[in-house]
Amino acid sequence: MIEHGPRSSRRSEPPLLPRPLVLLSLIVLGALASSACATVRPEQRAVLADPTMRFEGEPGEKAAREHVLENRESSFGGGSVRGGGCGCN
Amino acid sequence: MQLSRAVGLSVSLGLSVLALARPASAQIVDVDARTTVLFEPSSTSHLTVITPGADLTVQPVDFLGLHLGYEADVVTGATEAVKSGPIADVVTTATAFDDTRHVFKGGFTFERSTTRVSANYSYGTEHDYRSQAISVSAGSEFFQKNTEIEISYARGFDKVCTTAYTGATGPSARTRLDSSEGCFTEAADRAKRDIDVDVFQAAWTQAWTPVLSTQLVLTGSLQHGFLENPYRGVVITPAGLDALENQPDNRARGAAAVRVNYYIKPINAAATVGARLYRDTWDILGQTYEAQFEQYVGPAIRVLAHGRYYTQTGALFWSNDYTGGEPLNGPRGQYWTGDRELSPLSSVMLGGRVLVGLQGAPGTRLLGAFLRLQASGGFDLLKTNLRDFTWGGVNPDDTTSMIVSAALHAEF
Repeated sequence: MIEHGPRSSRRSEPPLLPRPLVLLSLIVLGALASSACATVRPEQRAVLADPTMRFEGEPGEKAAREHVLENRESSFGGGSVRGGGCGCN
Repeated sequence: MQLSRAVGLSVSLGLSVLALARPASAQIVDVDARTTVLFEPSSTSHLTVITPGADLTVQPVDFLGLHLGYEADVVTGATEAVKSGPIADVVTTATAFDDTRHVFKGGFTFERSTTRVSANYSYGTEHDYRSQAISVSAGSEFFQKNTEIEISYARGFDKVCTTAYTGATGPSARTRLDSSEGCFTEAADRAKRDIDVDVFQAAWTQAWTPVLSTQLVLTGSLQHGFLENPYRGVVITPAGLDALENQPDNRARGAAAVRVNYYIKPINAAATVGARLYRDTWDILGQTYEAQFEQYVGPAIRVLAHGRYYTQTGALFWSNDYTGGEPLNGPRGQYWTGDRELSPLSSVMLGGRVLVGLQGAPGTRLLGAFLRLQASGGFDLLKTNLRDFTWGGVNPDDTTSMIVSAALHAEF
């Protein structure tokens, strides 16, 4: 049933942070806390160090593509960065 | 003519860098030379952009990398200079233009076993625009190198050429540039205006299993200054009078991206999926979804295929026609723009790349000189769907972009 009148129009106090932001923060904090439990030993990192597993890909190629896209849409940021380690000890 | 000049420039640049890059015995030298050609066919407003570039990295000692780079954008095409909607009876014709942007870059990276610090500077120049940017970043690895955190900050100090209006000139009386002639000189009818850009970024990369890793990237950016296109006018009266674009002077932007990499051992392939959410104070909400698949075809050849879908809402003050009785003091009464990037749109990109990489056996060099040699070629197709944008009620036909790229990487 859809309510009309004073009760449905009453406004609650706005939260300090938007609910999606709180949820995202909790997920990120939880994942960060659990990251210490990830135990990939150095000798198991051969695949992670493979060029196909690098998030930044081939940097020149990625930068050229992002340059094209930034001139054709409004979004900006969140581009992939180096990471994943080199597999060396 | 422009095409052959740019290809010649690119080839000679690559050869010059290769010739200069004869290393001392203990040094490692990386050379990247590449060219990208973008072509947007259109019956009226075609565009060709050729982007040759080269980067040189020297590692004189194991913890220090020095970088130098150069890139150019050779642009030729035609574009409509005045944006009108379907209400005003204004027909604009495309104006031909060409320009070349040169960007020079330099920087260094300090790297110890688990920590990395880098700083870079770039300077860009073209007839109507000057840019300078500095960036610094620091990264560190934790938990047996399974966790990597990187933070970075970049600051841009740009200047753009406009007509010489003053603060007393109302926005509706400002005129657009008709050419770059006189820009960055003492010409009385030209002025230069500042654009300041701050970019903050944090990235967290995590290895979860021997074949699975993830990355979270958060980006925040502030832009301040002249954010319009100085060449673009917008029809703002039913009689067809136009004025220079008028957009807010400030824009705060934020993006969050998540990517997952998974290696499929039985077929020697890596699969990546990613998503990005974007939001800014101009009320644009953007969503990006990407997938990529890269497979080894033999030990030296990698084949990559990727797809990308993007969608965004329009800016709060976006309208396809500013003559239709918009409120005087609303967002669409105070500001006006002809920028299609601020309109509601979506796009699909599909592409691929073939890469051949050769590495010398331990203790030997390829062709007597190279530790590693890599060549690649790629093709991308980008189709944009402009949901609202028209030129006087006519849908633009320059919404398909073709991008061809070639790159050569050598390590001495």
